[in-house]
Amino acid sequence: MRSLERTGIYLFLTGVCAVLFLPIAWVVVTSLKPEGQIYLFPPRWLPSPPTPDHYVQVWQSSMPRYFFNSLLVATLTIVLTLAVAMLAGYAVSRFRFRGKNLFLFLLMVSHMMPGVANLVPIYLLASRLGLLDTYLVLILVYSMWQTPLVVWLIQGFLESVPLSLDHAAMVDGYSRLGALFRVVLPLSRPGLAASAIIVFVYAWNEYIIALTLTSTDEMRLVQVGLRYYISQFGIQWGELTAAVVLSIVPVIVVFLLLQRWFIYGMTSGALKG
Amino acid sequence: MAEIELRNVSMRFGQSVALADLSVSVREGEFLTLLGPSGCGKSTTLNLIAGLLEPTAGDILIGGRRVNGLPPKARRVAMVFQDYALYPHMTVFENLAFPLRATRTPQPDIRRKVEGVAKVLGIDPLVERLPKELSGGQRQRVALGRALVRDPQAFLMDEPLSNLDARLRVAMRAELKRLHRQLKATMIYVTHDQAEAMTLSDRIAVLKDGILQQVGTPRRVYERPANQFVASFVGAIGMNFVACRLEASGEGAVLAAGPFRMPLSRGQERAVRECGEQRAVVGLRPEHVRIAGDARGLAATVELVEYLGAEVLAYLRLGETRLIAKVGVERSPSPDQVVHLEMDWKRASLFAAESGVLIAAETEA
Repeated sequence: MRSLERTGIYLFLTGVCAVLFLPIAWVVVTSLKPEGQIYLFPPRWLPSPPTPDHYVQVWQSSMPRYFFNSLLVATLTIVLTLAVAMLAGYAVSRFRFRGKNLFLFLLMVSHMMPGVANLVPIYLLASRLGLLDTYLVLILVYSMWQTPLVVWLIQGFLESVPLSLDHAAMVDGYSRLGALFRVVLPLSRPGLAASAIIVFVYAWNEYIIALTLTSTDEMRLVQVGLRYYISQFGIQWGELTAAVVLSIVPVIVVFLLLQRWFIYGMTSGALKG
Repeated sequence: MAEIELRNVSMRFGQSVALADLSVSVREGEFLTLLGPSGCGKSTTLNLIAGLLEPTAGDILIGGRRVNGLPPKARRVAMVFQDYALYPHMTVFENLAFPLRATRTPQPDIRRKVEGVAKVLGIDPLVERLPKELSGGQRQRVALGRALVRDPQAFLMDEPLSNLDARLRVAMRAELKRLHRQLKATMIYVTHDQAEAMTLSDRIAVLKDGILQQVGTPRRVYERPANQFVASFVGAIGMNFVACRLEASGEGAVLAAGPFRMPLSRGQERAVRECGEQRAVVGLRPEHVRIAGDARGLAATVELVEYLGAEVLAYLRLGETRLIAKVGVERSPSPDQVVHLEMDWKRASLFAAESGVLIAAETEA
C-alpha cells in the first residue's frame, strides 16, 4: 500500500514536471528546426537535421544590442538596489527609532501596489525630468520598485548576524560603516545573493515599464525586443524561439554564479556554542 | 594603561533606568570587578565605557580625558564579549590581526604580535582554523587574544568565563589573574559569579538595579558588607539573617528572636539605638556558626546536611529561626540531631531592620 502510494505521488509529480517543462522543451526544439518544419502538421517532435540558422539570424539582428541593454540595466539595478536596501536594512535591524514598524509596514504596502498603477505618473515624471529613453530611468524605476522587498529580505538576514559582532569590530577600531563592510556584510552574503537574483530576474523579465519608458531601438531591452518578432504579417517562430532560449541563459548563469554564495551556517562559530 | 573614572553616570532606556548616578574610579593597573545579578547594569556600564552606548547623564573619563561622544575606536579600549564575538568568516590569525589592521600596523609587526599572543595563550597551532572548528575554551582564548594583541588603555571583560565548564573556568580564572599581574593592565571585569569576583579582583563594585551598593576590596566587601543585599550576594552561600528585637537582659542588651539571642557590646547597642528602632537584623556567615563539642550554647535541630567534600553544610532550626552552618566534615551532624551552637558573635554584622543598611560590624578589614 505504502509503495503504491509512493508510486502514485511520483507519477503525479512527473506529470506536473512534464507540463512545466514541455513548453520550454518545445521552444528549444522549435528554435533548432529548419523553417519548413516549424509549421508542419502533424508536428515533427525532433528537428532533422537541427540547424543553428535562427540563432545566427538573431545574432545578426539588433538582439545583441538589446541583450547588452538588459544586462547593463539589470546589473546596475542590482547595484543600486542592494546599496540602498543594505543600508536601510542595516538601520532597521540595528537601530531603534520612532516609527520603525510603520516604516516597514509602508515598505511592504508600497510593494503590494500593482506596478501598472504607477505607470502613468512615472511616465509623466520621467518626461518632465527629460529621462525618457535612458538607461537611468529604467534603473531608477526598477530599483525603486525592488528596494522595499529587498530591505525586508536583507533585514531578515542581518538579524541573524549577532549584534556583538558589530560591537566587537567597533571596539577593535573600526567605524560603524567599517564594521558593516568588513564583518556584517561578508556574513550576509547568502541574503545579498538571494536579493541579487530576485532583482536580476525582475529587471531581466520586466516588460511593461521598459516598453513605456523607452522608444528608440538603441535603448530597447530583450523582453521588448522579443515582442517585435510578432508583427501584423505573422510570427517569426524560428527567430522568436531562438531569442527566447538565449534570453533564458543569463538568468541561469547568474543563478549558477551566485549559487555558491548560498552557504548556510555562515555565522556558525561566532558565538559560544 | 590608564585610569578610568565614571562621574555621576546615568543611563535610561526609555522609561527604565539601567544605571543611576554611578560614580566609581578604577586606578591605573587595577582589576575592578562589577558584580551583581542580571539586569543590575553591569554590562551597560561596560558598554558605556567602551562607547557602544552613550550615557543619558554624567561623564566618563579615560586617562583623565573626557570621552563622552567619542566613538569606540577613539577610546582605545579592548573588550572581551560574553559570547566571544569571533568573526566566523576569518581564521584565528585573521581574528587576532583584525584590530591591528584597523590601525594600519605593518604586516611584519602584525605577524609578530599575533604569533606572540597566540603562543602566550597556547593557541599557536590553531591559527589557520576557523572559529567553528574550535572548542569553547579555544574560542574563549581567541577572544582574549584579540584583546591582548592590541595596546589598549584598558581591558573590558563582559563575563568572559561564563560559557565555560566549571573546571575550565577555574583554570582560565587563574590564567587571567596571571595575565593581569604580568601586564599590570587596567581591567574592568563584569560577572555575576561572586567567586570569580572574589578571586580575581583588587576591588569589587557591587551593583543592584542600576545602583552602586558598595566598592571595596574582596575582603572588605565580604566582611563588612554595606547592606543585606551585598551580604547575601557575596559569599558562596550567603549570610544568615535573623530579624531580632532589642531586649534588655541581666548582663546588658541582647538582640533576640525566640531562643536566638545575641549579646551586644556597648558600641553595638548604641548603634542599634541610634537607628531609632528597637529592631535589627543579625547577619552571620555560615562559617561563624559552629557546632559546639559540649552541651553549652543554643540548641538547634539539624534539618538537612549537605556534603561538600572538606566541609558540610548543616541546615539548622532554632524555633522559628533557620540558619546554615558550615562545619568541618569531622564534626558533621546527622539529620534530626539536636546540636548546640557556638556563634562567633564578634564576626556578626548588624543591619537596620527597615533599610537593610549595615549599622555595626566588629571586625575591621
